[in-house]
Amino acid sequence: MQSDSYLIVTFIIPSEYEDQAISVLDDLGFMGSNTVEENSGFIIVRAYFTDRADTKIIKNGIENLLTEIYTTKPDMPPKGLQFEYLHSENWADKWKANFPPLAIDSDIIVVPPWRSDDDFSQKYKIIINPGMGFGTAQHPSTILCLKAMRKTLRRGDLLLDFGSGSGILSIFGYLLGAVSVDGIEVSGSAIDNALENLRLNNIDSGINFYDNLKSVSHKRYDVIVANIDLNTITGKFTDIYGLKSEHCILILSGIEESEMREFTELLRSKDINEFETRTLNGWAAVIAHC
Amino acid sequence: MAKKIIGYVKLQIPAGNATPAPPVGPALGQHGVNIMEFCKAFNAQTQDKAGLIIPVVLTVYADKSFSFILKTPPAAVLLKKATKVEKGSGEPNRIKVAKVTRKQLEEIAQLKMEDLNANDLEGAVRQIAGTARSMGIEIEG
Repeated sequence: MQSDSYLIVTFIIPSEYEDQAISVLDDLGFMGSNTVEENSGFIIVRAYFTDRADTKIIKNGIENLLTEIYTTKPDMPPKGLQFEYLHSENWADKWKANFPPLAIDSDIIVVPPWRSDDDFSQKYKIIINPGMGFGTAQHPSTILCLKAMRKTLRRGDLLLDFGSGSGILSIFGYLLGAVSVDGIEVSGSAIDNALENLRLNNIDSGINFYDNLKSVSHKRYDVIVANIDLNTITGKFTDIYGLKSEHCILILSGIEESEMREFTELLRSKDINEFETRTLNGWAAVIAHC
Repeated sequence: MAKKIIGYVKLQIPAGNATPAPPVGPALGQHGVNIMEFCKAFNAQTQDKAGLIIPVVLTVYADKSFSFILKTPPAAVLLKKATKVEKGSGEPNRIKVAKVTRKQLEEIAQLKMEDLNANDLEGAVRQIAGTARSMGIEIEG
């Protein structure tokens, strides 16, 4: 049902009438709508119809609704019913321009699946389908982790990726030679995204994802990476720290530079007094040998 | 992971039938997220609710990854489905378009409970009954 253009009808209503408005639009045969919260309890409704829709019937239907609301809510803004047409665009592909291959440094590149067959000079190519797992490599906290792992992870290491999101760090650990990788992620949709990314990178064993730390409580890791945020790291720090091997490298990221003082205190509480700090665009990551 | 939220997008779209066409394309396009991935996940989670409009709220994170939660369809949409009428009455006081049973109201109230501002099921039923009356749907029993 490809249309060359679409009819957009825009109006403002009190937010408690959203359900009623959606029902009226459903009666009028809309394709769907987008609502945006305004201040002071109002929402802007943007309803979409095909360009073949009967504007007269739509106008009548929505005006009836607005009149009805107006009788109970006289303080409503004037009926701003707007009609406009939107030209069809290639929405199915246009967003891809937002995910170009990203060179992290001279030998790491993160590539979307539709560019996976291209030739790149970097030794490590990580294919990530951007989706419902954090870790598209567009955030400084992820870039800091990738760089820190490149410097510290050794072939044969056991890696724990706490808050694994898209699986980007687990995959990179595997490519660097980690013998076994466990990712912990509470979001099932993110785990689905990570499993898809494993397939895209042709990895069929060596990496497992779990939705809780208990599943791995009997294991000890040589490298633990957590790319989350200060609150989550603080809340889980004792649990994560308990999983370190005798000589472990901790890579903790997702901390804003302004939070470093608080974070340093947390590390000191575990007798971690020596660590390296790397920063990028206001974000900090800590590498600690403990 | 380091999820800095950069925006929310609220859409109302047909269950099992999200496509890159409007409203999905234009609304998500401006946030730069993977539109196809959203359509796939939304359709998978809503395919058993065909024929209903589902409100969905997306959270967009700083690295253009996203998550979403589904809300329950509007009560009026559920009432139309339950009573198999195409639309509500233009003059609900005078022209009745359908009948709904107490049991159907309870089923809808149960489904809507999490999104309704009701203290208990009875309160939720009263709200749904109010919506039914405003659409010209008579309540039986």
